[in-house]
Amino acid sequence: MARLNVGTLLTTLALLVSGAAGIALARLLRIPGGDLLGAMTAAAIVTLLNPATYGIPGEIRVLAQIMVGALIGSQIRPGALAGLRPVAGRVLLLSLALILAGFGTGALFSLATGLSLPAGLLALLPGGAADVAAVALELGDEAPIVVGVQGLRQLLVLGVLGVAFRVGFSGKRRSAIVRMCVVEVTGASPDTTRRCLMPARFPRLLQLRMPPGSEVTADAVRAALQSNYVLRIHDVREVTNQNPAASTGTSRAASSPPIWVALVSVPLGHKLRPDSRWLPSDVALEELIQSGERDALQQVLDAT
Amino acid sequence: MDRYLVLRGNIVLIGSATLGGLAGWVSGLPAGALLGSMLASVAAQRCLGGQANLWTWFTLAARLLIGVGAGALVTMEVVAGLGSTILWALVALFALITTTLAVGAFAARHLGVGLESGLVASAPGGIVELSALAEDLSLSMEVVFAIHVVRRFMVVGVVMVIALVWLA
Repeated sequence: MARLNVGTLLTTLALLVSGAAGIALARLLRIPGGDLLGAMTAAAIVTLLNPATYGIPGEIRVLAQIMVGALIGSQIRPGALAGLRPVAGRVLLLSLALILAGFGTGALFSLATGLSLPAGLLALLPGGAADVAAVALELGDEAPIVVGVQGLRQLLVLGVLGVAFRVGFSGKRRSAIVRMCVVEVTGASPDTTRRCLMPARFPRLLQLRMPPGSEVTADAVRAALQSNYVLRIHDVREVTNQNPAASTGTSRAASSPPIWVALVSVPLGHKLRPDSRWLPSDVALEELIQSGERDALQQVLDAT
Repeated sequence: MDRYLVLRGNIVLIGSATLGGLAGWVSGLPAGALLGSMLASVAAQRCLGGQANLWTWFTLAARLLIGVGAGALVTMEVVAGLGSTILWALVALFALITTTLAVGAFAARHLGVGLESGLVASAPGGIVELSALAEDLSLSMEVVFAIHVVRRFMVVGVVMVIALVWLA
């Protein structure tokens, strides 16, 4: 890793300028969320074109890690981490499975290339490239291969896979057949958490894909919700025009199609927006519908 | 929100993250700066009642630094080091990525997260970059980060075992 001196600072400055240009270009080309990719590609090009580059000083990498850490931490609102507790064992199992996948491919790589087994395993370990590189230096002639494969892995994951994720995940992927509002619960237990009605600007209004020609029933909606990775469904209701609360609404509400409302648990990954509207924790779905919230739900649907 | 409150919240958050990050860095833990910074800012956010929202320019600067840091790793030495093994390396990496993504897709449902979050969480490597990507795409950041951190610690453990057993 490069040390902090005038040379590395100038190199870093040049890389940052090129990275900024890369971001500008990515935005100009409207690459979905291309900030990271634009900066990375530009810096890689500059590094490859100029063999005299000193690399990024370790201190700058630490600064970057601190900034990203602050960014991540600021997004994790109070109570969000509590949702991880029930799945801690599964997180460990998943991590173990990923490491075993690295072992398997590493052993095969070793067999195919004639590298020693430690070199093969180190080359294909999924993560910790810097730590792997530090140990790989003990491998002598095989060290550049280990470091090279680790670098290639990062490039593939961040470049190819990163682009695929950005392109694939940025668009709407579910066709909307059932119009529904989902009232989310920010915790494993609805009794201990607050509920949030997604506001008009909240983009995660759930749109369900139902089998063609199928009758839309509460069970069908429940099944569709399950396939959308909702952890627990507490209640599903259809708010029809015959609903007393709805019938007291506007004439537009009287002629509009029914809305499905669900009260679900989404203990992980729920990201509250500053403009989310909190509801009292003791409000049941029926009360919510009866208390004139239908107009609010209709507004959410209209705005989406 | 009042500009003064925003300023105060961000100063507290960034200050805490800096202190936590430096402590993590000094401790020598894997990705210690990231881990320390994140834990400190989570604590700060908790104290602030979840009201702090970092400035947009701060987010952009973080992405710029991370992107440039990753791009600078692609040196001629790294490219040359691959040599004749590049084809097998690509095949092995393809197999690794495919397998880990399949595991992630399978696990997503059991973790109670969306498919996208499961895939990003299981992608092999780049804890900082993939966490930034998860933030960028509004995915389940705490899950993505937790899985990457746990795996990172496991990798370090494996590396230590290899170093101690085979290379000693």
